[in-house]
This record gives sequence, C-alpha cells and structure tokens, in this order.
Amino acid sequence: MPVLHDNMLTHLKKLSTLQSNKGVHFLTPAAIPGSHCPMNAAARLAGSIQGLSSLIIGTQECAYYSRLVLREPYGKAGELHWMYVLDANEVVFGCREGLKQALIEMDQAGAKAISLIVTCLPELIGEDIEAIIHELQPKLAARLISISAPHFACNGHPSGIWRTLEAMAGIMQQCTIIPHSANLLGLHAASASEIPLLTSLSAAGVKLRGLGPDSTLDEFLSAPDAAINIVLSPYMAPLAKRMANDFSTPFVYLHDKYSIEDIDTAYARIGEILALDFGDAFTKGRNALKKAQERADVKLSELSFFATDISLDPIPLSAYLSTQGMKPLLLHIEEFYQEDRQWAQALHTQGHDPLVCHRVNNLAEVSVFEMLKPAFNLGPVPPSLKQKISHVDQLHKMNGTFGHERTTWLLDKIMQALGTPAADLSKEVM
Amino acid sequence: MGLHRFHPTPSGRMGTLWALSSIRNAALVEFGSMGHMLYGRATLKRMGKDPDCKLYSTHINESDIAMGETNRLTRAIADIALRDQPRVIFVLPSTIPEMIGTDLSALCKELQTSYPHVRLLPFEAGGFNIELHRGVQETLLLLATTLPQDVPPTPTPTFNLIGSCTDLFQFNADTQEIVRMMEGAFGIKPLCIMTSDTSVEDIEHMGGAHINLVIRREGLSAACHLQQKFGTPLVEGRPYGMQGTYSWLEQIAQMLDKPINQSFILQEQAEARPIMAIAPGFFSHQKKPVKLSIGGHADVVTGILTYACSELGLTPDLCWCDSPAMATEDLPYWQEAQWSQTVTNRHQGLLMASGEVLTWAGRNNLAMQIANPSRGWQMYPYSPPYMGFRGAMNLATMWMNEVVRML
Repeated sequence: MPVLHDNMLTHLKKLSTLQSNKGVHFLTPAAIPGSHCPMNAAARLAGSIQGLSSLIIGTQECAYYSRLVLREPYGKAGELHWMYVLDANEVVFGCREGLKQALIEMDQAGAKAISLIVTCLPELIGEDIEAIIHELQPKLAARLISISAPHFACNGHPSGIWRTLEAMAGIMQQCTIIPHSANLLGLHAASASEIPLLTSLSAAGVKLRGLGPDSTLDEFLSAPDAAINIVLSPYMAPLAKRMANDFSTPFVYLHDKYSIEDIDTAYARIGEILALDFGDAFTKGRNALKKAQERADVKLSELSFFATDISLDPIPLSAYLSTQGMKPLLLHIEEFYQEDRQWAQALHTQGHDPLVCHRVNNLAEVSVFEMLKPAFNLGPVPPSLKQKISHVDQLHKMNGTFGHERTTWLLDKIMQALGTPAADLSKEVM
Repeated sequence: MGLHRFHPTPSGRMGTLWALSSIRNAALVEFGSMGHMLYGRATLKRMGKDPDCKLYSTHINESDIAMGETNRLTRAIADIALRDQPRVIFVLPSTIPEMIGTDLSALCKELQTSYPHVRLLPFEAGGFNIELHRGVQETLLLLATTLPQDVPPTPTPTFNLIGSCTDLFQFNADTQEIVRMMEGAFGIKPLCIMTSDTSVEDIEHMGGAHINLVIRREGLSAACHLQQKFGTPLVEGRPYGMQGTYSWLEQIAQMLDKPINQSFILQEQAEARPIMAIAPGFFSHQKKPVKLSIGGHADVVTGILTYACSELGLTPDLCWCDSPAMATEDLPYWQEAQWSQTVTNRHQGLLMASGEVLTWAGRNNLAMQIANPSRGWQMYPYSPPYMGFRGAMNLATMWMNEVVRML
C-alpha cells in the first residue's frame, strides 16, 4: 500500500543546500528501529580502548542500556566503566556536586583516564561538564575528557566516536617527533598486510602505529611523536585536525579518496612529508583500477543510484562515482562532516544534487524507491524490491581500507551486482 | 541515584515500555530520541520477548525542544495509523518531553478525533522519581481502566493472569506452568495473559473472565478495578512449592466454587515424588545447615524462600528486594552498595539473585538466576519454571545439585 503521497519528498533537502546535520531529515516519519545514539557509540569505543575508563552521565535508561555494550564495571586492564544517574532533584538543580564525588571515587579506585559521556538530559539542563573538569583535574591523577553525546543534536551515532577520538588529543602529551614514523588513524588490522602503501612504508623503515578502537590508551597518548597522521576513517578526521592544531602533526586524508588522481596526490604528499620516494610501488594497483574503470565504463554510465548503507561516507564516494557516469539520486547521511562540503560542491559541478535523508524504516521506503526509480543501490533495499533493484550489501568492509585497491574492490562489487560474469572481473582483493 | 557500578533500577518509563511491548495488534510510539527504543528492543529480546507490539520512536531535535514542537509525534501517529492500522497506539514520553513538560495527554485528546478507528492511549509514568515497579503498576492499571469493554462472563469459566510482564525473569516458563495447572486442575483456559502474551482484543474482553490471578503486587490495583467493574474475584500470590501451589489452587477453587481435579493433583504428586522423597532429607543430612541467600522482586523472593524453608528445610540467610517501595523489616531493599559489599565471592551457601549479582559473587551457575538484569539471552521459550508443581521440582533439584557442586 503506498503510504507516502506524491509530494512526500518535498521535506528533504538537496545536498547543495546542506550546511550541517540539522538539514538531514527523516525519509519517513516514524523510526523503527531507528539509529544508535552517540552515547552507545562512545561507550562501545571506551570499552574497546584498553586503559580508558568511562562514566555515563544521564538517566536510568542511558545507564541501564549502556550495559549492552559495556558489560562489565571492571575491565581487564583496570578500567572502570561506571555510571552516574541523575535523580529527580539533580534534574532540576544539576548534578555538579554528585558528579565531582563520583569522579573522585573513580580516581581513588585507580582509573587512569576517564571518558565522561554526557547524554541528553545533562546536556539539556546545561550542566557544565567542562567547568567541572577544569576545577577537578588538578586534584586528580586520572585524566578527564568529556564527550558531548546528546542524541537530540544529531540523527546518527558517529559523533559519539569522533568526539571521543578528538577528545583524546586533549590528554596527549607533547613528545619528541620520530622523523620516520606515522600514525594510521582508523586502520583495520585485517587489511594492514595487503595494502601497498603500508608495505612500502614498512619497507622504508617507517615506524607505523595503527590507532583505532583496538588501540591502547598509551598508544593514543604517545601519538604526537609521529611525523604524520594518515587518516583512514572520517571518524578520525577531527582528531587529525586537532593534533595538527595542538601538536603541529601534518595529516593526509585517504578515507575520502577514491579516484586515481586523488589517491596519487595523497600518496605523493605522504612521500613528501616523510621524504620518501615510493617509486613504482603503486603502479600495479593503479593499473588494476584503470582497467576496472574501463570495464565499468559502459555499465556505470547514466546509472542512477541511491546510497543507503549506513556505514558509508556517501558524499565523497558519490562524487567519485559521478565521475564514472553514475547519477546519485538520494543519499542516507549518518553524519555530515564539514569536509563533505567540498565533495558536495564537486558533485554539484558535475550537475548532480541528490536528495539527502536519514533512513529510519526500511519497510516504509518502498514508495520512495518506486517514485525515484533508482537503477542501483549502494546498500540494502526493502525486501519486496530485492529482486528488482541491483544492489550491493556489506559495504562496511570498505571502512578502514583505502587506496586504489578499495576503489577496484568497490567497482568489482558493483559490476557483480549488475550481472557481469564474475570471471570477467578483476580478481584484485582488498 | 548517583554513582553506579552495576545496572541501576530501571525507570518507570522503562517499566511501561517493557510491559506494553508484548501487546499484539498495537503500536507504541515514544516521543523522544531514537536510541532509547533501539536499546529497549534489544533488551527485551534478551529478556525473552521479541516485541509483538510495533515499537516506534519519533526522535527529537534541538528545535523541537526549544520550540516545544510536537509535529514529529503528529506525523508519526499519522504514518503508523495509516500503514499499520493498529487498534491502539500507546504514546509514551521519554525523558526529554518529561523534562520540558510536553502534555501528551492533551495532544492525544486533540489528535484522537482524526483517528476514529485507532485509540490513542498516552502513558504517564514518566517522572524522574518513578521506578520500574511503579511504571509496571501504572501501566497495568491504565490498561485495565481504559481498554476492557462491557462483556458478559464467558460461557465456560476462564481466567486472566495479571502481572506476567517481560521484566520478571522466567516470565515465559512460569506463565506456561500456571496455564498448564489451571487447565489440569480446573479445566479452564486463560482469557488474557496480561501482558506477556496478549492482544488488544484479549484485554478488551478480559471482563468476561471468571477469576483474576494476580502474580505480582503491581497487578493488584488493576485487578481491584476489574473486580469493581465486572465483579471478577481475584487471587493474589505466586504459587511456589508443592504445598504452596496446592494452597494456591485451593484459594482459586474456593473463589470459583469449583473442585480441584484430584486426579491431576495425584498425577503431579506422583511425578514429583522421586524428588520430594529425597530433597528434604538430602538438605537435613548436610554437615551444616544449607543456607539460601536470595535477592530480587519482593514477591519472587518471598515465594521461593517460603518454599525453600517450609517445605525443604533450608535456612534463610541474606534476603533482599529490588524496590524501596516493597521493602519491609524482614525483606530490606538493597542498593548495589549493600549487595556488592555483602554478597562477594567469599559468600557461602546457596545464592539466587540476578545474573549480575551471581557473576559478582563468582557464581558460574546462572541457572540460579531469578531476576534481571540477566547475563545471558533468555530466548529459549521452554525453560523449566520456578512456579507451580514443576517449578517446585526444578528448584529442589537445582538446589541439590548446587549443594553437590559446592561441596
């Protein structure tokens, strides 16, 4: 049964008019099941960084449900994952005194660093957590960072991740820079051995430090000793920018580079900063991508698409795909980053201005697919349309990977989904 | 409230959501951030209930808060009413509307005229000083006062089970045991299992039942209302143990003015005999008295403890409940500071409590769990019960094995 009317998409903005997350509206009105909140993401991250403790500050809901991801109050390396629940009095008059006592108690219990994850209610009542930290920090051994994580300020969860990572810069110490060293921000350990850039850097004797959810607190704290930050995830970009500001660590983005030219430029910049000549290390990958683009050329030309996968950083990706002839119609935006503006501009220059939305109910989206009629989808489609619309799933596998090989893998997946015999496709794997 | 190392007591809002989430042919929309509903759903699945009620969230943003906007809720209700066509839409506040004082009742009243075929039912256990049990109580009462229709008693006797809600650990197993026993002892079937296995229609027709069985104190006000409105008698209590269960059946028999099917009782006693012939002697022949420490819902704790001590000869040790409103001199309310300092890995004797307490005390046998929060996924629907005749057999066997394990 069609649920939405012909004018149902007038509530959505075009990408060119988007300035922040606030302009991203729900595709359909009622969320089921909806998106994760920043608290959950920040809590999950705190639970995975060895040595980092956490304090969830909020209501019973936030505290109770945070145990879905922070299962234990005591971590294996002495971390404390505790909660501060505001009572009815504190909802009105603030929780300053109680919170200070809680932090003193966590400090005495041995926490090395505490991530204060501030949820909707304390944010709403305007509790000044930064002021509490400012007052208390000199008296405590534990280093404190605060993560603003109200869900009412956004639709999706990524701010819980990037804000945590960005805040880590606040407790890093200035160190002596190791000339031949690099931080790989957002590296997925599984992909490390297969990417030529990393092989080349290792061969050249560059000391590499992967920083991500599986890293330790100490690895984060010593990060300013690196000569460069190589950014492999949009979640890490704010940390890289802050480290550039606080520690003058130069950075190069790779997470949003899909075209041969952009990847080559980024690699050249890395070589320049580290004073390295990579020679022909990337020729094989570059040629493979060229061939993949040639094979895809006809199939992708004029191919209209949606990007609905929540794990994608869809704007730079769409900007690249539009250079291959594809036409973006609608993008799900989990988080709009300031850097996305340049990619939105690039899309606009090529004559594309897709609608932007936040998906919250895949069953209710059928009408949208039927109305805009995309030929292809990056991400899942409603169950009733699975046989009708070519699509690729599991695009989260692209996260943390980069370079020519990632783009080749993506084109390969798209071609497979469009029905090209697998034998004709590049066998390059990521 | 304040600092917590372990799960805090859930809020009244959570109690309401959990109690309503199992009602079929209904939708629930919460005016608030999306995350809460997502995690509520995940928690319910772990507690053993894939929500039958469709659980929606409106989400809310800074402009909505600053301007007091409720358009998201209006649009969500319109969408749900059109797409799902439920009989009832439950409307819940989350913490933010509760904080800024959104009047959901007035809004529902205003919107109701637009949806003559869908009832909009706002719930209000949203205050910051209301905890789980009061949320459940208010929810059961509101359902009982709003949905039941004027219906005659069913031609053959039926019963309502009031208070079987997802927040009670093992609610599935215990409910199935009660249904089995009512069928066996009286040949009567349930009309409404409120709320863990019911529909809007079941609640609408619950006035036709011949008796209301109230298995937790939170259901008493709802049952009293039904008694007043329909004249339905009620029996309050949780049947634990062989004798305890029989006494409970006798109360029902008296209310129904209907004899207990004695052949069913003989059959149950015969089935339990191998266990019950051994268990009291097993416990009394231990070198030291077998002590039972137990914490959880006051009605569960009281029921199990009574069975353990009066029928099997166990000795009560530490006992506590999880709600300040239910605390007594004999059964105090313990916050985490009390139980975590008292019940440690040095604690001796049998221990039944939440999965979280058992883990803290270093007890690996989660079969001894009687309360949430749970450490695992309670998804298997045919676990052995704690209540009823089969529950008596299960508990006795479990305690014997636990004693053997600890020797």
